[in-house]
Amino acid sequence: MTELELDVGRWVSRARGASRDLVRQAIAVTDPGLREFAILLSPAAGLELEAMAARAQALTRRHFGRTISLYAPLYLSNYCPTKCTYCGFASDRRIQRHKLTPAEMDSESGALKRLGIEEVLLLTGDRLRTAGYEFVRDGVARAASRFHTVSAEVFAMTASEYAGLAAAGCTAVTLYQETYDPVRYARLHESGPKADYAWRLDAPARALEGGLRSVGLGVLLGLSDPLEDVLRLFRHAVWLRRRFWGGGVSISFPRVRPQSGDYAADFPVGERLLAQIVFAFRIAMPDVTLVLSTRESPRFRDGIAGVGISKMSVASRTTVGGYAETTAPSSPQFEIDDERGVEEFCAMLRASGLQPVFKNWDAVYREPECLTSSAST
Amino acid sequence: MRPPLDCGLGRRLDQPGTERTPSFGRPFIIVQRLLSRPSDARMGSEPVDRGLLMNLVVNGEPYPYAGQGTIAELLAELHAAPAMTALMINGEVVRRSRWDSVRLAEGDEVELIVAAAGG
Amino acid sequence: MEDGFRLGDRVFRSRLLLGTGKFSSVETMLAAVRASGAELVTVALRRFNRERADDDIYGPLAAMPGITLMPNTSGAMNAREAVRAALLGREITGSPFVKLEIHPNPHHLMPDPIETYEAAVSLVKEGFFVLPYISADPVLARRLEDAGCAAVMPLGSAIGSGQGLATLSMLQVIIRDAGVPAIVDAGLRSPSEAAAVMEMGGDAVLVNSAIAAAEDPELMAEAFATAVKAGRQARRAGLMPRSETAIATSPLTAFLAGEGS
Repeated sequence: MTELELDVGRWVSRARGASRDLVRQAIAVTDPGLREFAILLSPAAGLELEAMAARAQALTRRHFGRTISLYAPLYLSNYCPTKCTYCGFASDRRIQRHKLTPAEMDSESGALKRLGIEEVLLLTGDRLRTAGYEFVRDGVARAASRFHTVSAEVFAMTASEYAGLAAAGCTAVTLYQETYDPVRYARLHESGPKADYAWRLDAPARALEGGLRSVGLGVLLGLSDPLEDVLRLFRHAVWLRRRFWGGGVSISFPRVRPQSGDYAADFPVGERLLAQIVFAFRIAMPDVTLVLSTRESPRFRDGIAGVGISKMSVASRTTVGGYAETTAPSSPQFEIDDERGVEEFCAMLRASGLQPVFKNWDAVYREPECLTSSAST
Repeated sequence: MRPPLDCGLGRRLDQPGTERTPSFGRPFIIVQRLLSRPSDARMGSEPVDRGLLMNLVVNGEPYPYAGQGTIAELLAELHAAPAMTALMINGEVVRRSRWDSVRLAEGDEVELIVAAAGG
Repeated sequence: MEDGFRLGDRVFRSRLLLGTGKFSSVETMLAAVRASGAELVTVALRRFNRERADDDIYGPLAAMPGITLMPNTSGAMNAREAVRAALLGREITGSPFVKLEIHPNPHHLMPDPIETYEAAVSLVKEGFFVLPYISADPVLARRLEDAGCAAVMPLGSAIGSGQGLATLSMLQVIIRDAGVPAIVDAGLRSPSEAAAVMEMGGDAVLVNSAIAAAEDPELMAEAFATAVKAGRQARRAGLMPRSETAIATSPLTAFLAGEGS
């Protein structure tokens, strides 16, 4: 198998210089590839958003029907040894830190289940002795006994650690490279475990090797030149899919948004470009799950659900826990813009002709150890 | 196919159920069936004579054979070029590198295979 | 820069593979092989027959420069028979390549995926470069690749059916996802179909019936060779992709009207 090739130089110029005719062709191509993806990122394509949206919607319907998968994030801890300049949990920020106790985790899970959530994404800060692999694995095991699907968005792990997560009931792992630009990456992560660019880059492959069923990729839009980062993200996804033919890949679109007194993006990405990137991914990778969080506004989320985006978080808290009232308070990682609860959000989806899905039936086929208590359709 | 040997008693060797009897005064030695690993040749346990007499099956047809029992001799007799022929004995492929160490035995089923147009 | 493709430990320049069956005579077959420029030629196995020594094809083929013979296990009904055929084929040709073909049904001649997989695993262990002939099944193709096969050979349509690229959409998936050469085999009726395979990224094609049964096999072989080259060149030149009409609906991007932050 070939090595991961992330050089995108000539594609960037293609992305910048494409004509409107090329864009129209690229939108309509039946077997699109990197070439079409680059063209769809161009400024000219930015003038064809309606056509891109139409094709993105058609392809989303074709592969995902008129449904949106829903999940909720659950932060297990916000202790962190690392200074990522853009993150609310950075080690040099004076914030309220907390780590869920087992009892708190149980009550948080109960609260989420009462909201109807069946898929939970567990998060922590960077690796710490007190909140390391075992902590995450135990959290996964607890969650797997309550929720149908458990995924984790945590620090980069070894292949055998990932295998341990899989054995504990974890289905997927999300790990954003943040930026694929090594120079900017080094500047943004000067020390701590996360400083190792190559170790992090290789982590999704280790996760799939370790037996996790799918990996979630992404870049934090705004950290570096978005065209370059997104082109590299595309290549990374393509390479992983080729190398792990049985594994799944999903793409998320976290974006640096202005927060009071906080990190300001060096390469700010506005909503139109964000939408363009989502549409481009849908058109060039029609069968990949595309995920959008509650970081974006209700208006944006409503508009893009089903138009490229096939999976969304709902009723999110980015504090540690926060769904149950009994958990100790803590500071959030970033501000939520869409604060709607599950009922309200699902009502919106239905009004748009989309069915909200809280998937809970795959567990019927799994080995007995992994069955959740709610394993019935 | 070569004509059946006349063993001197008015019987033909190629007829089923024919008893084999010594001919020309030489002791007739019955050799064991070739094992499935023909490289485990039984060498030296019986005297190497001017020739052995045995019934083989070659390419599905009965074939009385008299000779040293070597592959090279059999192929030469049949005018099959060794370089272009592959060999199976009793259902097992015998690699060319082992041919020298093989001795054919009574009742062996030999298949000679060559390339053909096709595929 | 040579545009070869790697099979096992060798690199081949010609992307047209030829089967040697169904020709009206050995001479015609040899002429077609020469005209095709093929470097990899498949042969079958048969029993040696003294009376048919003149029909020998191994001698003349082996004498042609640049030809690598690849025995075909066609006729085998199961993995054991195919392995035996491969071992015999290697004895004759000295070639480490084998085209693994197991089709139990004599009418539609569709390959048996289970026997093929088992035989492939055994043959890879024996050191062969295995080229398995399969239905255009993308998962089976990856399983065989994982098992160590040197290529995959998905069919375009049933052997001899001349139905062309009936499996087109599946071939596209296989070609896109393969980490070893994808060689489309069987059912190709015309040079334009061979070119189409190359244009969509196929690494090579194997043609037999379409050439052997042509009025002028030598000329047809040359036509296929030209088509394969043309298709490959088009691919490398960056062919304009095929397109679907985009579906227009009511405005979907109104939600972006106000530039949010």
